[in-house]
Amino acid sequence: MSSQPGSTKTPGRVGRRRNGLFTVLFAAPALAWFSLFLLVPLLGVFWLSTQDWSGLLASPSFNGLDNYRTLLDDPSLASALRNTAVQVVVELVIVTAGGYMLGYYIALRGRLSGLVLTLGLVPILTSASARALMFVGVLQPQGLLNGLLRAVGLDALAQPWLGSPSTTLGVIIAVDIWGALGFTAVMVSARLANLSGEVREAARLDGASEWTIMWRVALPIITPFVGALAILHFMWALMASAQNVLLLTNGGPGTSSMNLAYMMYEAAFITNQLGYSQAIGVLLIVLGIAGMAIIRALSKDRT
Amino acid sequence: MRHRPLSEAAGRAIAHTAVLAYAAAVIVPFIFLFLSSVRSNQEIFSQPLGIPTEWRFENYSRAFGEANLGDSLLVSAFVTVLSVAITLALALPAAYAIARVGEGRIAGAVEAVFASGLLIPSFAVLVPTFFLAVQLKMLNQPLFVALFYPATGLPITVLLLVQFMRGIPRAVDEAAMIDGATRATILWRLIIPMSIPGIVTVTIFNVINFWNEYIFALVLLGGGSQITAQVALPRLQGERLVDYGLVAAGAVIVMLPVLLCYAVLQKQTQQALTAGAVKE
Repeated sequence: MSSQPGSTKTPGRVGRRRNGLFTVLFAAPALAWFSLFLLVPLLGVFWLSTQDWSGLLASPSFNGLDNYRTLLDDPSLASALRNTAVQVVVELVIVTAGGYMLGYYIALRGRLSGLVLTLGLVPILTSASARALMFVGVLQPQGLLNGLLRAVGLDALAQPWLGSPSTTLGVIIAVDIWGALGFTAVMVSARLANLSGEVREAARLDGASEWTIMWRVALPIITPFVGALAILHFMWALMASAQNVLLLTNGGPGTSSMNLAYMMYEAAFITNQLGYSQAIGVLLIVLGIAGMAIIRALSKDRT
Repeated sequence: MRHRPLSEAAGRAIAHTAVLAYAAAVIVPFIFLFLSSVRSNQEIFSQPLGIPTEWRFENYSRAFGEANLGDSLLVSAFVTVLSVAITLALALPAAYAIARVGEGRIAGAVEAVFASGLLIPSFAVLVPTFFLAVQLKMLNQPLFVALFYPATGLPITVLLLVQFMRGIPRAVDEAAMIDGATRATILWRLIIPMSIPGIVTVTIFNVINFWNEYIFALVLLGGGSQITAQVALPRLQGERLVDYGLVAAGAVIVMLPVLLCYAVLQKQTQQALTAGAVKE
């Protein structure tokens, strides 16, 4: 961050070589660890996708592009892709736009700001399994949500949330959003706190409403940052949300809440098609890179 | 613009209401969970909105007794402590090297590798990691999980420590070098003690993430007898939802360490969580 005066003096050739050696010696263990457990396995996804590997007792054998052919013929693929698309788009819109507004609200330092700041981080502190079990109780036919609906006379809306094909995908999306919205808001508020109050004051004096300042003045300044938060949630929704599917619905009923990431998990660990699962893994990685590029392009600094 | 006062007031009311609704949506499930943990199953689902008629804490003792949650909490503690320690042991020297010769080509490349690591969602390597554990004959061993987690924590840990160490004057190193100290001594005796606030931040971040991790622990340990608390928790559920009081008590127990940490170290936890992604 702060470079010290005198620190930029050029080291001699010996000094430079020593610095190189020092960097390598000190950084090598961390790099090796990171490579062994993350970079090599990432390449392993591509390798395994060309293998026939059907579980612990078998060993992988090369089968070319068979796994990819199987994937194209998989009857679940269409609904998994559709559900993933719905999930990603709905979550991104709500988490990004809602999180931005909530973060803007916190940054205004009103009476409720402190409360929202404190509560906003609580969901992300809970583990996937504890969170899911909490919602399992809330969403039971006789659980909290239906109890609340009946208490206010909306009996017609009460339903078996986790058991009906028309609601399960919505439940997954809602639990994902519950986990991410406050975090996004707190991040936005931290970033907005760095903006000078003068920008807002000037806009106020020009007669701009708070709404206009929020979208037309503040947002353009931090668009790349909001884009980075969107990428973070995009990756989470695309991949890690498999945990919520696994814990809440197992993709069902039928394939109503099956998304691509859960399809990969199921192929690998429930039906023991580990090689095949990595063809889905490759598809996830490709979609991840493409989505990241799109969000980055949309949130480019235009100021 | 003449309407502004009126519409602004309405807008403000809508904003406050929406924010209160959000706060309620966050907190109400927790209240329901806690109240469920001290009620019997029948009570919970016959009157989901009711207040417990009597507070029974036997669900908690049953979670430890019948459900054996205590053992899995120990596994969780082992995995968390070991992986946090490994992460720090690897990240501190690496961060120091990058921070001190950051302009050099090698250090720049090393930093870039870790920066790219921020973008790799670990879920992507779930199956290859399982394969690795099988190859190393370490499937169902908590030790393997404790060796794996540091790789997921390293990128952010290294980058945040680099940021922190760049704020420590180089004059500190230079003076010590004149006295004949080696890089290792300088790191151990001077830089680490001066980096304590940064170390606290990354440690909170890692403890929370490692303690809460679910899917890798499930895949890597789920077939054995030593499982983490996150893996044990959903198993309290059984075949059908027969005993929500027990499940709720288990969930409260498993959440408690992290929520307590948040209550006691709120400022530092907020810092740790926001620092975790603020870096652009």
